[in-house]
Amino acid sequence: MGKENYALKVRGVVTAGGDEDKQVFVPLAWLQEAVGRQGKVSRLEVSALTMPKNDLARKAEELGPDALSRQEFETWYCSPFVDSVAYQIEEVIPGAWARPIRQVAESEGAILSKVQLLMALLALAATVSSVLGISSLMGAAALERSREVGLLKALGAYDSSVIWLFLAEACLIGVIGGAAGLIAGFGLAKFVGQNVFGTAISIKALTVPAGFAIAIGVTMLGSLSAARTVSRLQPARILVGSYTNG
Amino acid sequence: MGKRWFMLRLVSFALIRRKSRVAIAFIAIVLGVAIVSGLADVYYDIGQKMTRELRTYGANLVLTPASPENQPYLALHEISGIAARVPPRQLVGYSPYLYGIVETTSHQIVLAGTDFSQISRVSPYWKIAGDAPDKRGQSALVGEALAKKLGITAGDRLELTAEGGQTAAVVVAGILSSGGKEDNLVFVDLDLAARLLNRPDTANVAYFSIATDPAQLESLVRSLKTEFPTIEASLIRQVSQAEGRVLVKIQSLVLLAVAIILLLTLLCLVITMVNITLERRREIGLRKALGGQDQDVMLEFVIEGAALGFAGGILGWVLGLLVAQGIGQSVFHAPIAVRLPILPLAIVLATGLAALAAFIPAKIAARVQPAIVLRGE
Repeated sequence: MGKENYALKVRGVVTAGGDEDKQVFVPLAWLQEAVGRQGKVSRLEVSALTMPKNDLARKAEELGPDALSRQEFETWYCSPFVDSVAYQIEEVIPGAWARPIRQVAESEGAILSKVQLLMALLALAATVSSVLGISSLMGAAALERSREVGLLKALGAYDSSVIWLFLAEACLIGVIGGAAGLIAGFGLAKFVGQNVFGTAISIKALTVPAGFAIAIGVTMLGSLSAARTVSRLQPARILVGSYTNG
Repeated sequence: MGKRWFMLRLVSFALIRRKSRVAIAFIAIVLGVAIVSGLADVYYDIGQKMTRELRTYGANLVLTPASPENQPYLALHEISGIAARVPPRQLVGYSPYLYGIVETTSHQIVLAGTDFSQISRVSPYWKIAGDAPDKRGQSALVGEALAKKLGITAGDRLELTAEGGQTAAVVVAGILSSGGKEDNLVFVDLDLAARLLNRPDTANVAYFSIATDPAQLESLVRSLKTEFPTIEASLIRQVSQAEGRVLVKIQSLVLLAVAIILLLTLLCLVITMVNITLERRREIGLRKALGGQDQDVMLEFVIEGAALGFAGGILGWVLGLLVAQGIGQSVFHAPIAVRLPILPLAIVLATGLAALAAFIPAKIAARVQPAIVLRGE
């Protein structure tokens, strides 16, 4: 093979802080032509969206995918673990040797699980403080209606029917408030997605029933204690106006 | 004297007699302050904690000779000098590498000498199938791709011969897999490699893993450049830039969550205080009917609220420490640094808000005619 000279123009200087700093980058098709290896590459780097390793992925990594049971293998094969992606690449490109870049794959998994746990705890803290807020609001709203309860009881309502009335109202408020809150929550998720990550955050269908359940549960729980206090009061005392709290 | 004593009695009786309502308000304040101050601790420490977690990415600083043409090697004492320049709390680990070509009985291979004790700190992502090499045992790690090519397995013996004729026999302790260029190398102890390649106390390159934020790392690199002109210190951009981006996102996410929780909690605190004051409209009316001055009545309510807020602020801060440590232990397996300035902030915030939340409804109630309130409207 004779030597050939080519003239190339340097269009820029790359600083990567890695091996790239010692290399020259040219268009792939041009190099394939120049070295007479049309359609060939010596190395392929793949950037894939994968999910953090779980026990199954670790088992497959330790023992090899062949050691998995049929069902485990199917789950592993169909999940976007970095190892199963590499496995499938080896299947698609015969003779290829695909290995995850562990520096990236390992650290991503470790950091992702930390961040997820942190956000879960923050969500828990937010739930606790919302429960506190909603129940104090609902409790106050129920106590304000002590005169109405007195009238109901004077007209023959049982304690239990007063409590049921309050719970039914709380349920309704929970549904309406939950719906409004979910819409506001989706807006917030969209805002966070755009501003923090620059992409839309996918909305899980499970959040809708979960949001309603939390809203209804918390409002009912918040009104229950206040409703019980109010329903136990003597109607005569409330109606005559001599009722003072505490 | 008499008036002040009377006020003290009024406030303490009001707090003691109405136990259940006061308890509810107190619990609201304590829980609110606990959540907010605990999360504030976590927020201020998250940068440092995540920087350390991000060290699973491995080295973020690399040292190479400044002028490879004249002096292609780094001296080991210079590397340890630079290691001494990094604050010990921030230095996760550093490993020098000495590279050279050696021959096995059949092939030419690239040999890398390094400090095996630093692998778990500087390259935690390496997967070693077999045993971890020990320093004195003349053991070696062989890259997965090379092992596959030469048919080497853990436990094999390798006879290595260098260009100058020096020989060494090593036992393959394990097969190393990283998915990077390490998969094609053979790793031995640095001293052994130095003897084999006849390059005592030198290295080609040194990798540092430093737990600090990107801006501090940049300034460290700049100061190293002036202090050690023969050494080129550069950031590994793939790692440091990715880290910076991840860190900013996590921090803004946590800040947003903490801000929302702060608002929710303060709202809850104010509502509760307003409620327990509004419930006492009739009491205010009675006091006015008995000749109480508006200011005295309001002052009493404000003192009550402030006392509640003060005590709740302190107790809430203490509980907040538990919240912060709970999060620290479960997420990072490390304690969260306690920031004392949060204590006065928590007290001032709780006291001020509770007093304000008692003052506004008390003022409205005090304006009302006693006769109307007492009649029960």
